[in-house]
Parts: sequence; C-alpha cells; structure tokens
Amino acid sequence: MTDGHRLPTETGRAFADFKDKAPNWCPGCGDFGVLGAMQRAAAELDLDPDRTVLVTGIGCSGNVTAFFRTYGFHGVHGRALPAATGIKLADPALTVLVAGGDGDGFGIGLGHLVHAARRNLDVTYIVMDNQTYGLTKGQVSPTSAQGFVTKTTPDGSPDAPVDALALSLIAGATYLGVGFSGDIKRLTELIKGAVRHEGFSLVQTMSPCVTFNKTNTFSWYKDRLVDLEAEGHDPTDRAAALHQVTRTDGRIPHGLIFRTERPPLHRAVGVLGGREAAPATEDLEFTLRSRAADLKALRDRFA
Amino acid sequence: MGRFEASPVSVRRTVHERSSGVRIPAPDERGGSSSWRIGGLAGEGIDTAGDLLAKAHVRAGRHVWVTRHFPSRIRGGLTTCTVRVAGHPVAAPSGVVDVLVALHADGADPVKQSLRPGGILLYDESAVTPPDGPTDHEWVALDATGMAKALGEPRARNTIMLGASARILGLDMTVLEDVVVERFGKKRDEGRLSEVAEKNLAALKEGFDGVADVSPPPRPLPPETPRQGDLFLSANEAFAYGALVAGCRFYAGYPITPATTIMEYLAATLPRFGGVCLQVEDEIAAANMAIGAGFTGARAMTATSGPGLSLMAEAMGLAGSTETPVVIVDCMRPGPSTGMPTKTGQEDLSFLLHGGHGEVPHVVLAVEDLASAFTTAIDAFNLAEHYQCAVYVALDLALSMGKGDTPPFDVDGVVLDRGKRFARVGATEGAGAPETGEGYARYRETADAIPLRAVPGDVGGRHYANSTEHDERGYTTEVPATRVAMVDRRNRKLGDIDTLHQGLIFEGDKDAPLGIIAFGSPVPVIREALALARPQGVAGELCVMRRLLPLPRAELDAFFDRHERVLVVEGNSTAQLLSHLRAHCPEAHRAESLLKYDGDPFRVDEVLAAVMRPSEVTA
Repeated sequence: MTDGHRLPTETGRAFADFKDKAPNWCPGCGDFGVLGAMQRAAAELDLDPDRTVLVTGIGCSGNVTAFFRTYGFHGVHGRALPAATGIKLADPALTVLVAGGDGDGFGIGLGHLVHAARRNLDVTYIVMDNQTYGLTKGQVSPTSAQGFVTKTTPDGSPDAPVDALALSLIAGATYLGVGFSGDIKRLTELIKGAVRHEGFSLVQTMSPCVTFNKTNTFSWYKDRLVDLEAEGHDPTDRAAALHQVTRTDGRIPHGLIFRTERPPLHRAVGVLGGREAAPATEDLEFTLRSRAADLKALRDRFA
Repeated sequence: MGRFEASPVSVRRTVHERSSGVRIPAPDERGGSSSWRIGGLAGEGIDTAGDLLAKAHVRAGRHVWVTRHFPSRIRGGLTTCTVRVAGHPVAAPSGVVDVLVALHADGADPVKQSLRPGGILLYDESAVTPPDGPTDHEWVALDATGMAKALGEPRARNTIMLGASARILGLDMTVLEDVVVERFGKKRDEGRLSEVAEKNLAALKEGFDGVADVSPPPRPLPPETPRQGDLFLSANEAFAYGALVAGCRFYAGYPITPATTIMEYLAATLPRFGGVCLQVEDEIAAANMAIGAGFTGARAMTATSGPGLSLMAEAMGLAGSTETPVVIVDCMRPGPSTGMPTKTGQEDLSFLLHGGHGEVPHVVLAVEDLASAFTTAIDAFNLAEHYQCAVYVALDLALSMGKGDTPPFDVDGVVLDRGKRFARVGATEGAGAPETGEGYARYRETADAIPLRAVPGDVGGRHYANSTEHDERGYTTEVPATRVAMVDRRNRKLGDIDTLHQGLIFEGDKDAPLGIIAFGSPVPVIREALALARPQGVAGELCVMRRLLPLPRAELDAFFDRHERVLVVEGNSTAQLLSHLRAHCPEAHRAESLLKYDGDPFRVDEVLAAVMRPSEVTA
C-alpha cells in the first residue's frame, strides 16, 4: 500500500481550489465556460485534487489540464480515453475526468470513444465541441457541417458530420448529456451528475471558437438549443433518448439525454478500489514473498 | 535508400549464398542428438503430438527443442512440428530429420522435409502413396486412419503415429502414457480416466503395436540424466510468467502472431493476483492504456509484433516524455508491413533503438533463451521503474513459438526495484522551495537525473504529466533554457545502467582469435556451432547481447580488442546490429557480418560454415 494513499478527505473545497495556471485561450473562447463549470462541479462535489486525475488529448481544449488543479495527464492526440482506461483500472478509487475537443475525440480518437462506451469505462468525458480545428488555425472538424468552408475545404466539407451522441448511445454509454458553455449552471449540474454516475459519461459541450468559426457562434447555438427538461424528456427512456440524438428539426437537445445503470469495466474485470489493493497500490514486494507458493505452483504447471 | 543500399559491412555474408560445394554436416549427423518431425494439415493435432513427445523426452531426462512450421491460417496448409532431442541443452533446430511422420501427402516429401538419406518415413497409408521403385529412405506404412475410426476417435491419428514413433525411436512407453494422461485428463472422481484420455491411450498402443521394432534404432537416443522439476515451455510463456512474478498487474494487448501467447498466459493468471488483462481495440490503445496504468503506479506491459509496434510508435515517445515506466515487448517476425507472420527474423532492431520520433532515452533488452526470458522480464520491470522510462524487449518468433526445457525459475531469488517513489521518502528528497504552495516538482533535477516519482493518490504529489515539453512541474513550456535542461536531464538518466544491469554475457574462450556477437534466437545456435567447432581446433568467444540500448560500450570495446576476428550474426539483410555497434565502437569497422533473412531460424551448420572457413568468406 502506498504510504498516505488513503488519508481522509478534507472538506469544504472552493471553486478557487481547482484553479491552476491562467488559461491561454483566446478571449471569449467557449472553453472558459467549460473550465468554470468543471471547477464549480469539482468544488461542489468536494473532489480531492490528490485523488482526481484529469486526462486530456491534444488541442486547445486539451490544454485544460494545466488550468485545473488536480493530477493531470496530457497525452498524445486522440488517445485520452485509452490513457484514462489504464489509470482507472490501475486504481479505481481515483476520480477520472477526461477532456478534449471534437477533433481529438471524434476524429483521430473516435474508435476509442465507441470502445470506452461499450466497456462502460467509469470516467467522465467532457468534449468541448467547436466544430473546427482551433489549435492548427481553422481546418474542418469531424463535427463540421457538410459544406463548411475552411482552409482545407475551400469548396466546403464533402463529409457529413460525425454524430457522436448517437454513436455513444448505440455503443452503450450509460450517461449522456449535452451542455453549452454559455449556460455554466446547467453544465455544472451535468458534469456533477456525470462524475457521480458510475459508468461511461459523455458530456458533449457546445463550446464556440470565436477566432476560427464564424458560423457556429454563441448566438447560433442559443437559437437552436432545446431545453430537454422543459420539453419533458425522460432521460431513463432509451427510445426517447435515441429520438433526441437523431432530431431532424435542426435543433440541439440541451440537458441530460440518457442515464442508465450497468456494471462498469473495473467491476466487470474484478478490480475494486477503496480498501482493496488495486494494481497501482499493491505492495508487490509483500505479494512476491507471501504468495511465493502460488507463483511456484504456477511455474510447476510447466513441468 | 541510404542505409539499405550499402550496409556498412566490410565482410558481408548471407547464409542464402550457395557458393561452396563443401557440405557442413548438420549436428544430428554428428551424433548426440536426433530429430523427429510430424507433418499434416493445420488442425490435425500436429503441435499436440510434438508437445507430447517432447515432454516425454524431458521427463525421461533428455533435452529438447521443438520448432513449428506453419502457414498463417487456422485449418488446412501443411504444418510441421519438429522435436530435436539431445543429451545436452539445445535451443536450435538441427536442419536434418531422422524420422518423418506424414499424416498428409503434402508432408511426405522427404527432400522438402530434410529427411536424411536412410531416414525413416512413417506414413498414414490412407493419405500417402509411397513412390514406386527404390528410394533413399525407409518407408513405413500404418493405417492410422483405419485404426482411429475403429477406436471411434477419428482425431486420434496423431496419437497413433506417436505410439508408432515411440517404438521406432525406442522410447519408454510408460513415460509417454503419463504425459498423454496428463494432457487429456482424469475424470473428477478419483483415479478414473476421462473418455478422451482412455481413447488416446488406446491409440498410443495401437500405433505402438502397428509397427515393428527397428533394430538398431535410426539413431540411438541420447543418454538420460533425470533432473528435478525441469520445465517445458516457450520463451513467450517464460517471459509472461516472469512478468507475473515481477509484479506486472496491468496488460493490454491486441492479438498478433507471434506475441499472442503472452496475452493468453496473463489473461489466465493476472486476475488471480488482482491484475487486469484486457484485449483492446488496437495496439495504439494497448500502449496508451499501459502507459496510463504505469503513470498511476501499476507495473504495466503490452506485447506485440512489428505491425503493432509501428502503431505504438507515438506512445513510445509519450512514455519517454512523461517519464512513465512501461514494458513493451516486440516478438519479431519479418517485415515490412504484414511481412511473413509465421516466420522469424530480427528486422525491428533499428526501430526499437530509435523508438518513435524525437529524442528520449529508453532501454532495449533482448531474450536469447528460456532462462533469459524469465530473468529479462524481471529486469525489464525493474529498469522501467528505476529509470522511469519505456523498456522494450526483443524476442523473435523462433523463441516465441519454439519450446524447450529449462531448469525451474528461481522465484525466491527475485529482487524488485520500484525506483524513487515520492510516497516512500516523503516530500523531502528532490523537493525544493515551494513555488505554488507545494514543495514537490515531478521533473525536478536530481543528482542522478532521475526525478522523484509521485503517482495519483499520493497526497502532496500532485503534478501534470505532459506529452508536450514541460518544466519541472509538468507545465508546458517553450523557454529554451528549460527545454535544454529537460533534454539534458533525460539524456543523463540512464548513465549508470551498466552498474545496475549486466548487458552482455560472455561465453567460451577469451583468448581465441574468434569472437562472435549476437542477440536473440541465433545465440543458442551459435553456442552449439562453437561446441562443434572446438574439437576441430576452432575456438571462439560468444558475446550475448542482453541489452542493446544503452550499449554496454566499455565491455564491447574490450571484446573487440581481444579478438582478431569478430563475427556479428543477425537475422536481417542490412546488418542492423553491426551498424549499431559501428556507430559506437571504434573497432567494429573490422567486424564481419553473417546474415539470414529468409524467415527461418539460423541453423547450426550455417553458423558453423561461417565459423570454420573464414577464407571462403566473400566480400
């Protein structure tokens, strides 16, 4: 057991306790709102920064690790979910948050999204979707609309956008929400619900890029968002959730779309957190000596 | 084409050139060992038959090496399994076969199957038609198909042939019966055999009774020197077992020949030790998951072959940048691209030495036999945690899928090195002045350049592991001085590895003019070639490379200094190992190269030819 690993949690953390470096995003970037909601949610849930890991990929939003004061892992482009899988399984007692953009999660890393959803990996995945590539200065993204004109698609994007919500729902995600960085209060509640939820939670967040996307602006989203609560949507109804993520009226569902219970990956593979020694917290020296007889019995099966 | 066009080799010789008319005898032809081969279609129990015979030999106190030859498909296509038995430890095929067993016509070609003149060809008469007229071989017919049908177990043709082989070879049937019973099991109620075991025992007897004694036997069996508890397994199994003992608790992987048996072993055993073994969507995920688990403090590993390693290339740099311990095993097969999935080679060395784009130190180890597979697994995890970096381990298909005997591994002697851990020493060593309210900095400079490692959950160890270049706390930086300091510290990290790990093993005659350098599956072949050369007046010293990076420079320089002629043996076409040696060792320019890249392992006679007749070596 790693010394000091399981000390009692301090209580009463504030928003400021989760502030780290000042963000270097463009003024007015939607990601400020998402970061604010993450910090509020962390404070209100009283997350322990020493037992929380924020895993990110590459992109403007992936830089959030340095602005959010917990353990952080800023991996390679598109591979945040695999890294988070290793982290969560190595020590399921940790709270694992994953954040990144639409390019990272739905372009280069899309395959991992489907697999994390079907495994019901117990992490909260916050995607800041701005429908463009910001860090590389304005190219088409997997969530850009067909016909979207960028420097790499001068005649308009030939591709239909990836529908990550529908994909995740079909793949087996057990918590699905859509947030908007212009509504921090609701986004905070969505993130809190996602962290409390045991299983794969996707919080898809509309987070406008004010520099490279002059189409999908704050007001563009505001005009299209539909308040799911006001619509009387039942998030435990899978058919209704499927209806929401396949809407044909051009509106964007806003709020909690779906929630269900299913054993998460770490329980399915028998790795438990808390008092039990997890792969990361086991005293290997002790095991090597105390279970030498078991190890030798395994060896002698080759004899 | 640069490095592929003209390999920087003064004397380059491949085993594929057929220049000399002089034939070097295979080791079996010199006595002391003999080879038995069974061939049939994939799915006919070829490997099972080979394993059973080999295990019987080991139980009786003989040494074996089992090699498999098979196409990349599940059913159909000729598969062979060759059991070489000897009175001394062997880990190499002989190159000739004394007894060939054919379950299918495709396996009954004595020339293609290297059956020696005068050798015995035992065949299933329902499947194979012997040639008309005189032949160089003794054809022995058995109606294995009919016998199997009569037993009500049509799949038992392999066991019938095994029984017949036991008689031809002069093998003790009781030992063979024991291993058959072990393999096919007893019933739950004590003592009684399962139906399938009963049938296989009957098949064994049918086969034994179906052929006549061969007197004298085709080759006398090597002497028996019974040893206690010797194991019979592949290098993959030995490595996977070593990983388990070393405390590997996280494995993620994607099936690929010839690495998959590592995952299969860990899938069966890791959960019993609280560990996790996952088959995941691809090798990119596998490597990133292992790195995530390593970052969190678990001993983590993935194993693959060339195509998967290519997919892991970006993650290799991630482990370096975040200074995360992880073990990545490459069971090599020939490339490029899909290459030859069921053949062997050593073509990934250059790739392993570079390990992804950019510059970051890592360790490359190699396994050369079963004993070193176990110890290298322990070393790999210890070095990964000690130096907080990726450790790559090279195996090759000949070792990954070859099976042999080895003395039992020493579990009690295993020592673990978990490296510098924040939680163990508290926030004192390596912890400097508080800058942001905390004293700890994950990537702070230390005397030996190895930083103090905290993992998530360590109170006060909070930090930011970053694939982007970073400062001592992990925050992204482009400040030139910080960048240079980070690169310099990382480059210094492995400076004392020679004091911690024995990278070279020297065997044989230090005073001989000849020195041979090799790693991986060619090593046991060279051992045997040197043993055969010695009575003929040619001695040599073998330098076995267990660590290819960082290169054990001083010892290599001394090796070059003490040998007039140095031969570097490797399984690729561009002399990658020699190029690597030449980049670091001034005297390596005069080394000769012996190369093989047809997909088959080196044979003893091929190495012997290069050892014995330097005058015939062509430039």
